This record gives sequence, structure tokens and C-alpha cells, in this order.
Amino acid sequence: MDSQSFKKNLVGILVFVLLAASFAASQDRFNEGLLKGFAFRNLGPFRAGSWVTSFAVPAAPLKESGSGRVKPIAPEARTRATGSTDPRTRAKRGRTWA
Amino acid sequence: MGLKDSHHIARLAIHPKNPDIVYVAAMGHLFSNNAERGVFRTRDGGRTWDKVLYVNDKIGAIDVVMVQADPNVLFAAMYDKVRLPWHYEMGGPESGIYKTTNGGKTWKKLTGGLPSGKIGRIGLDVFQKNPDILYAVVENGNRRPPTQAEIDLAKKRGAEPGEQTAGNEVYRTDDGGKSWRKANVGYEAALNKAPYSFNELKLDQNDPNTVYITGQSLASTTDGGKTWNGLSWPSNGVFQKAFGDWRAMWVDPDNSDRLLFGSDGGVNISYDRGRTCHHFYNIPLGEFYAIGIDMEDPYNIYGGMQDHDSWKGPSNGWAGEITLTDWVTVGGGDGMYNCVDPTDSRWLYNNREMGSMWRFDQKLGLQTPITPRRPPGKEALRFNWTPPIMLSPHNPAIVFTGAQVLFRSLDRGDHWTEISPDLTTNEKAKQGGAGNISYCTLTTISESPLTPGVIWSGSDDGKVQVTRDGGATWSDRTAKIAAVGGPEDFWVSRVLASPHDAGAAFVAKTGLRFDDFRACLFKTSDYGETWTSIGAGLPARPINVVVQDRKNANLLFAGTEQGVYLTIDGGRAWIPFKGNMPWVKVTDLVIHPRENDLVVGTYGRGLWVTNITPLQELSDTVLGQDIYLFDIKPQVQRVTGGIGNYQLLGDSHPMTPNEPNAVVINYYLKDKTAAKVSIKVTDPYGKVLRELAGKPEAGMNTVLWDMRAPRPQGQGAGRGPGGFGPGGGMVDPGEYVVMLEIGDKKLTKKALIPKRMGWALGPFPSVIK
Repeated sequence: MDSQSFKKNLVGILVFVLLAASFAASQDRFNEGLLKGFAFRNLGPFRAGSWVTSFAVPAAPLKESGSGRVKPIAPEARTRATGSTDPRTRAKRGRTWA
Repeated sequence: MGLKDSHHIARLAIHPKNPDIVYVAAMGHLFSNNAERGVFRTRDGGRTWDKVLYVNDKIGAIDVVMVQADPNVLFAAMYDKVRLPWHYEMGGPESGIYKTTNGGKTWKKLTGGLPSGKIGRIGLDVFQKNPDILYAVVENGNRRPPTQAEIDLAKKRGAEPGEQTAGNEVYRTDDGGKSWRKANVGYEAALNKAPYSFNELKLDQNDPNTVYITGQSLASTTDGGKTWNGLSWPSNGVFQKAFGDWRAMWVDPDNSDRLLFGSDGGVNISYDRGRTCHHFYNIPLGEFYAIGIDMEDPYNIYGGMQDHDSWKGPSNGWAGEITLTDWVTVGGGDGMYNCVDPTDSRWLYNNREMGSMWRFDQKLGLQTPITPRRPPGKEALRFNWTPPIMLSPHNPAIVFTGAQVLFRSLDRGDHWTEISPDLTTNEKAKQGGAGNISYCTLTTISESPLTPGVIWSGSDDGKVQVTRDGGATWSDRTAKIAAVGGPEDFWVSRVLASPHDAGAAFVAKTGLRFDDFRACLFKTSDYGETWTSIGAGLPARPINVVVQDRKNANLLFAGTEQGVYLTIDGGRAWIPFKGNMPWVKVTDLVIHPRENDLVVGTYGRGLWVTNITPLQELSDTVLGQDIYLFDIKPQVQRVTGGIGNYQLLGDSHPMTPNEPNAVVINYYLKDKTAAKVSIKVTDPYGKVLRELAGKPEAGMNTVLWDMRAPRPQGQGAGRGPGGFGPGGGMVDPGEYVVMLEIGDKKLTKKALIPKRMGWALGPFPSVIK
């Protein structure tokens, strides 16, 4: 390989490396965090279809303790509907189910 | 928490004193056999699981109940059924009720008095105050002699009374399952709407003779099954004013008057044993199949919903927000496609499940049935559950819809022409299956926005076909797609003709109905002669829809069984596009061509909207720049706000705010900067009207200009569009300049406020005749 060819090849390799590095860098920047500022609006309309499949009603409601164990939190029964919290207390407090 | 391959959990039973002990009734895969099904038990809060009841890799567990006084005693219902994409086999000999008395170590199949043979879904409940009493609703698929009432009815019709399917039967045991007796003698023909979809049985724990069973109505008895209410629809029983198709129920064990139930209408509660009920209308749920948009300003969104008709609602509301009252129904049934004439919103075309199609004159409020028909003697039409509709992008009076053939109307649906042969596999063995399934049907159609007559079709049985001459000849591209990884029999969830290249198109296929969840997405640039897979960068989630941006051909969005993904390089790399949207099934995506809003139709959580204007410029080149100021979307000033305090409806009334009434300024920073980020808004002559502070964070950043400028000297403060808010008074519509300054770098873009709009007060009745 003469020196001219060597220089040409070297330049080609350098250009390739730079392009590849540039592409890799842009790929790194193209991640989910890039879009974190996007917010969607939920327009509804809220009409539950074949969606509610079960009601779970523990006799003694449970919660996670610090150790990761599940412990009762209150003696009174509460109702849990799928995807929500107690509809009676929520409705009385006037909260939106989300 | 484990059991990942079980896919479908039917019921849990939790130990009353030790919540680490849980039994799970697992159905397993829906469309295929697998071993992780049956009844499982954990003793360590879900860290490890033991399969304690297993029949084989085809049989799942559909119910499990525990005796609270002795938690080692449980009853489980096993379910022998077969679900195929084209057929549902409702039952088999392995369905049955099992009992354990030692916490699942051993189980005994209960038989005494229970039916055997072709048995389907079973629902169970135990009377906890006397756990020897147990009820079961059993879907009995065996044949039985006709009842006297059925004989009389047949004779009245001049027909010969024949054998009937036994149907749902209710059984009761009073000895812990040793012997059973039928409790609904004389009601054999009742309760028979799709038991596979309902059949939950609940007891009043204060009265062993009061039983509730979910179905199209809520069936109930208070005398142990001698008499029943709620066997018909509309119901003559409890919850008469509630939406039907009951799915789930709870009876308060401490107060039998208090009932909670879930139906296809949502959740209701009663405090008087079902005589009256309260509906919770504020649960943010909604199952969309397909969505459409119009070109009004603000534009409206249309969508067909499972169980809930077709709806229309505004993208921005007159009161500055959107509530339930802003939505109106525009079609019936299980709502499906809704397509609006983009040149005249008066004309809306929609359909319901399996083909009934309508043209809705929105000006007069008139619906006209326009379902395509075939003359007698020809093979019957087969419409998919979600039959596609498309308006020609070249002439919106031209309407397309699909059965097993493609129909075209040149006069808004008044007359139809078949412009294709059967475009499906037309496999007879897969047609006419049980389970409310129509198969070998078209699922998706798309005409090229660039070349009239280039039309793509896709079918549920995997066929992808294209015509380049308006339907005169068709080319089957299925095998060519299979050659690059799209299985021939996978459901074609979407064909999409590219708005950028007449020969380009996208095809999405889904293996959901084979329990094969790989992402199958393909592109052609030569009318389907060759294909490239562009789904390799997507996770293993079936794809339901793909859209290509009209401005940026490399910007694609894919709606999957779990969330939206986007690519800015034509499909090489994909990332989740989630924001605050729940990570749920996405069934449809539409980009509004004027507003550049992405409208997302989910199957579960309703409609979601975001603006994608900056994404239309996003590219590797942009991401490589230190600073980039994106083009600014023209922003209409909206004069909103209802008069009075009527909006004070409490916090349980769902309200979604309008899009920001502001010019949205987006910029990108490659790296976080220590320099001050300033955005100046000037008039065309350079006079600074506002200066806003921007965030210095790496990535995309947004600043809102509320289209206000400081009030001139001598003018007082005020509110509203004519007055002055915190930022001053509203500027007039016109052109403005936005300048982004970071250190010594300055970038500018034009900001256009085309008009100021308010809302006319309505409604506006019309004279029809």
C-alpha cells in the first residue's frame, strides 16, 4: 500500500469512526427521558365496558409494613373495587377515582 | 409476584388470619395450552408458589372459595374450554368442582348429583355460617329433553319440539359437597347469555336461601332457587336502573342491604338490597376500538367503545375544560369505527359490531342505515367484530368498508359496489365458529393519500392484499411478509398507506390470538414486492396500530398491547412514549393533520391527547446539536370560562382541562447548562413583550407564553381576554417572534396567533321537514 492509499484509508476510517461515534451518541440521547416533559390529557369519556371483573373485600384491610410484610390496618371492613379504592369513603370525601 | 406464565387469574382466596397464605385460581393461556394453570398456593406472601391442583395443560381454574372457619377447606372450580381465534368450545368433561380439606395437599372431585359431560364455566360460593352449604352455577352444555313450556311453544309455532342445551343450572349441597340437588328446576332456559362471560355466584352470608348470579341481568332468588328474579333483560329484579351484563358482585356480610356490583356499565352500589343504586360515573375507564377526528376548531374526537356506543367529544371545551356532559352519543351498539368527512363535518360514518353501518347527518341529527348488502343467493357477508371504514383521502364522499370483500360507495353509502374478490383465506372450517366470532373477515383498509386507487387490505386470518387499479386486480402480499418474519396466519391489525410515498406502506400483524406476543411490523416501498421488518427495536408486545407522521416520514408511532412507542428514524430504534398515560392496551392512534395532536385510543382508560409538534422535527441531527429551538405551533387564543359557580360539583366530578391557552415553546439542550435560559417574545419590530425563564435541563424543555403582554401605563388590572391577567393583557392575533437566549447563543422562531375564538351558546335545534 503506497502512502497515498494509506492516507486515504486512514481518512476513511476516521470519518467512519466519527460518524459511528456521532450516531451512537445520538442513539444514547434518544431515550425515554427525552420525552419526559410530554403530558397527555385524558379526555374520557368515562364509560366502563367489560372491565370490572372482581371485588376483593378483605375482612381486615391490609397494608405493607416496613419489613415488607402485610399487616392489618383497621378493624373495620373496607371495600376495594378493581382499580380504585373504597367507593363509599371516596364518594363521601368527594374524590376522583384515578 | 410470580405465576407470570399463568396470564389469567380468575380468583384469589386469602387466609383470614395469615395473609401470607393465598390460593390462586389460574386459567392459564387463553388461546393455547400451558402448564402454569390450575390452583396455586403460596405460604410466604407470593415469594414461592406450589401448584396444588392441576388436571392438565388445557384445564384452568375459574373459581376458588375458602371456608373462613377452617381455611384448610377450599372448593375450586376447574374449567375445560377451548378458545381459538375462530371458535369457542364452551365446555368439556374435565370441568368440575374439587374439594380439599387439608389446605390443598389432596383434592377430591365432587360428583354426587352434579352433571358431567360437556360442562363449561362454574361459579361457587360457600355459606360461611354453615360451610356445609355451597351453591354452584354450572354451565351445562349437554342436551336435555324439552320442558313442557318449550314443547308448548314449539307446537304453537308449528315446529317439532326438539332437544335443548341444558344451559345454566344452579346446584346446592347441604353436606359439604357429598350430594347436590338442582336448585333452579323449571328455569333451565334462563340465565343463558354467554355464561362463559359471567357465571359469578354470590350468597347473602346472612341467608343461605338468597343467591345472586351474574349474567345479562342480575338473577336472584330469596327462596333457595324455587323462584327467581332478574332472568330477563330489562331486569325485573334488583338494580333495574343499572347497566346490564353483570360481571362481579359483593354482598356485604355484615349488612345484606349493601350490595356492590360491577357490570359493563361500571360500578354501582346499593344500600337497600338493589331496590335503588348509585352509579360511580367518575372512574376513568373506557374501552375504545377505533377513533376519528373532524376538522372543526376546536376539533372533535369520535370513538367507538365496547358496550357503550359511539361518542363525540371536544378536544377543548367551552368552559376551559372537558367533562362528561361535553360528550354525546353518535352511534349505537358496541361502537366501532367513526369517520368524519374532513371537508364537511356534517357527515359521520360509523358502525357497530359485525357490520351494521350508519351515516349520521350531524346537522340534522339523522341516522341513515347504509350497511352493504348482497343479493339473495350469494354467499353471506362476513363482517369482523370491528369492521373497518375508510373515507377516500381524494374524495370524502367515497366510502370504503370491508366484509370478506371490499365495498366502495361513490355516494356516501347510498349504493355499494364490491371491488374485490374474497380477500381472506376463506377457509370454511374457520367460519361460523361458536362464541360470537366472525372469522375470515377484513380488519383494516387503507387507500394511498397520494395515488387514488392504491388500496391495501388486511384480514383477521392474515391476508395482506393490494390493488393499484381501484380494485380491478389484487396482489396477495402475505407470503412476502411471512418471508421477513410476519407469520401468514397472524391477524392483520393494520395496513397503512404512506402519505409520503405512493408505493410505501406499513403492515402490523398480531399474534395475540395465538398467545404469541412478538412485535410484527413491516414496511414496503414498492407496493409490497419487498418488505423490511421495522419491529426489531420494539419489545415483545403485539402491535395494534401504526401511524406515520404527515410531515416527518421517519416519525412513526406504534400502539401496542401495552403502550405507545415512537421512532424518529423510520423504525430502527423505538422508545416508549408514555408521559402520564397509563401503560395499557392501545387500539388506535390518529394524528390531527392541522393541530398535530396525537390522539390515543386505549382499551381500558379512554382517550388521551398530546401535541407532537416538536417531535415532527426531532432527528439524529437535532439531537446532535447543543441547542435547538423547535418550530412553534400556531396557537388560537380561546376565550373560555363558564359564568357562575356551576362548576363547583365537588371533587368527584371528572374534569379535564383544555390544552394550555398559550403559545408552546419547545427547545432542546444536549447537556444541562449553567447559563441563564431566557425566552423573549417580541413583536415583529423587535419590541420585547415578555421575557420568560426556561429550564436548563438536558433534553426537551417547554415554556408557555400565555399570549399576554404587560399592560400599558395607565390601564388597570382586569381579567379575561380583554383585560389583564398576571402576565398583562391578551395580545392581538398576529405574528410574533420568539428568541431563545442561552449565554451568547440566540435562536429565533416565528410564533403565529391566527385568531381569537369564543364559543357560541347552544344547542341549536334544526328543522328537518
